[in-house]
Amino acid sequence: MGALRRPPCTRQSADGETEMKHFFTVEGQSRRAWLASRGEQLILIGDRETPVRLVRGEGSASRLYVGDAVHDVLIAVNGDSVHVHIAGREIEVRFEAAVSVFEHEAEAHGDAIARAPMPGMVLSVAAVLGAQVAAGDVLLIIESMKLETAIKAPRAGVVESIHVAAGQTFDRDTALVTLAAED
Amino acid sequence: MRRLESRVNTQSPEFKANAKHNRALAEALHEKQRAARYDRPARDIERLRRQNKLTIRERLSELLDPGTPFLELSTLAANCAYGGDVPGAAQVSGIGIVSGREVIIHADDASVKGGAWYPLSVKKIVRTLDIAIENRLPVVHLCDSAGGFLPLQAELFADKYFAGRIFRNQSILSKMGVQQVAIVLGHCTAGGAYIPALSDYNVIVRGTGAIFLGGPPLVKAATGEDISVEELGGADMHTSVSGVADYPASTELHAIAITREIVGRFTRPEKTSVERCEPEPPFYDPGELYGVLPVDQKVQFDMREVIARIFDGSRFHEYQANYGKTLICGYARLWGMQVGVLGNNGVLFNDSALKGAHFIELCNQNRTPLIFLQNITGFMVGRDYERAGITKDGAKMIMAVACSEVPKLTVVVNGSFGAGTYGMSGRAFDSRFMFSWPQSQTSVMGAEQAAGVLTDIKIKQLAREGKNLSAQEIATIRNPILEDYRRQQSAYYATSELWDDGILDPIDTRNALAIALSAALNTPIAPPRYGVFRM
Repeated sequence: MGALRRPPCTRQSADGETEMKHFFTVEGQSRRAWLASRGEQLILIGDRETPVRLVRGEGSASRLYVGDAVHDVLIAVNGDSVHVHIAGREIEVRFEAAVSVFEHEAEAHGDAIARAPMPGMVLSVAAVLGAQVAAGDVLLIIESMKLETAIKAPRAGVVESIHVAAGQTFDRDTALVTLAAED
Repeated sequence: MRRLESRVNTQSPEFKANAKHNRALAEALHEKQRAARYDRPARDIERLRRQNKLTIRERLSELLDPGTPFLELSTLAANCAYGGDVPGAAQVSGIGIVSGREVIIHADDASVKGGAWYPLSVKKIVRTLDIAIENRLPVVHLCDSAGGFLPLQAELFADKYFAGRIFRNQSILSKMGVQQVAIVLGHCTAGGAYIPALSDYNVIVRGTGAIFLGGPPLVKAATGEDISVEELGGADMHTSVSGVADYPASTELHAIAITREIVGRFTRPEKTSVERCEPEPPFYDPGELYGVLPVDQKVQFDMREVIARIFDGSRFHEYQANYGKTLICGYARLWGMQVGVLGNNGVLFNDSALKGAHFIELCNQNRTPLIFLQNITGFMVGRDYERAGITKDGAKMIMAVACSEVPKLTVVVNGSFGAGTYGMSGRAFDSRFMFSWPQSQTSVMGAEQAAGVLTDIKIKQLAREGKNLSAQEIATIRNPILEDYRRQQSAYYATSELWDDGILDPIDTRNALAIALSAALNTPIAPPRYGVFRM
């Protein structure tokens, strides 16, 4: 866009920022790799430093230099995933933000309760006792302060109990639906 | 910063119904804008041709750098006023690039009522120059006005923000060192004469341009003197005798070429430094905004879905995700520039207001501009909330918004009601720019609620006089109130009255905000300072 003047940018990582600590999921396994620059791009895996360089060619064809090795590779980028065709194999490398990796590790596995975000009235109940729901499925619709709000499943699970019925009013933070953990 | 993960199912019937509805609203908006820009009675265009004048749109395309963006402001000003007869309030305003410089343009549209200034024309010019002051944008004035619309002079002449404010603002711009060029393309009579006179540079077209305090008929009536336009205030007299004008031009194209040379001499300002990196388009298609916005305004949606379709890479660093959840706060990037985003996910509670005030303070400390995405029905009401001091927590948020030193930009995404309008940096809070989406509504309370209150008052009045109304009689009182209220809370009414700087097609929001933010960064950001927060 002509109106915007862009500053000269320094090195940037895959998400456009200056964060250099990366996690990648390669064939289902999480791997940690750091990018650094000391005159040349280095990839740091564990204690090992290896110089890397990618020379983009025509289309998806590129040449990848890792240490002394040279590979002709095909690369296709789809959002946070990179499909690399290397030495007759196709490998998917998925970029993961560090905050997501550590968050998943700490995720709780107990019951989950959908609570009222504000006082209001139940308009309709979509949840069915004993039914399996996915995260984000609509459990019920409430009305409050002129707004209709869908109460959604905080995570996947089985509907264990529904604490309110259509037409019923409730206070903020009232438990509306309890989901049991999946086995 | 990680990407937001959209939970919208783009294949659902609901999404498709929303998309169809909102696309139709966007198309209706584009059609109204096209009509406001181009539809004119043939006789008005013929008159311009006879006078050897270009239309305002032709003038703009000659003036602006080819292939550069032009952010037109308040295109639909006056669309609900004067019987719809004064498209754009007979004015064009917008930010564009001339000779590589960011400028704001104020242009009279002589194809509408001879470019006469209606009350809303004056409001639009004053707003244009306020934008120039707040964002230190050089101004190019294209002057071609018949003068103030006399039947409505009481609504445009004397008050603080009426026509005098145009000349006051021009003087203040000059004092600030923000440069102005005026091109005199028609008659600048009486007050209008001061626009070129108060500009640093002015260019006047021989034969059609003229500047005088009183035109020939007025002179004849006052002193009996017979004098031609050219002799009284034409290009040659002013550029060689009076010194009121600087550059004579033989045609409009010549005048515009001279103007482009003048603007090309302006020293480009140093932009205020904010955190930046290489821009990245949103990961989620902004076109999906049509499917995210519900058909029914009452239906709540997750503002993160909107954020994911406006900002770079759909990335968002959310602050206090588990506290005050009805107000989403966090950092994002807009064309590489870091911004703080505040978006509504429901009514404002004590905790959401406190979180908002705190986040605004953080952004001010960090020199991070703020973007408000409004979908707000107001602050929570009720016994518990009054006892918890919802009013003083709302007051803290309003204090933080009002005293904020970083530039603020506001988009009315859906609803903007009650004190929520204030807390979310509504028009009165000096957002540098404010835009609305086509279905958005702004008013002191919802239409049904307001009509209910007003109808109740009427029923009680009549009951005191011993009259009891039938349901049908109540409906005949209530329905007109409701209809009036609905009309006046629509985005089209708001933009007609210049309560915003224009209605945006949602998919244009990203670029419009970027142009606005780029302009806002011409002004240095002062260190943060506030009044007293009621604790």
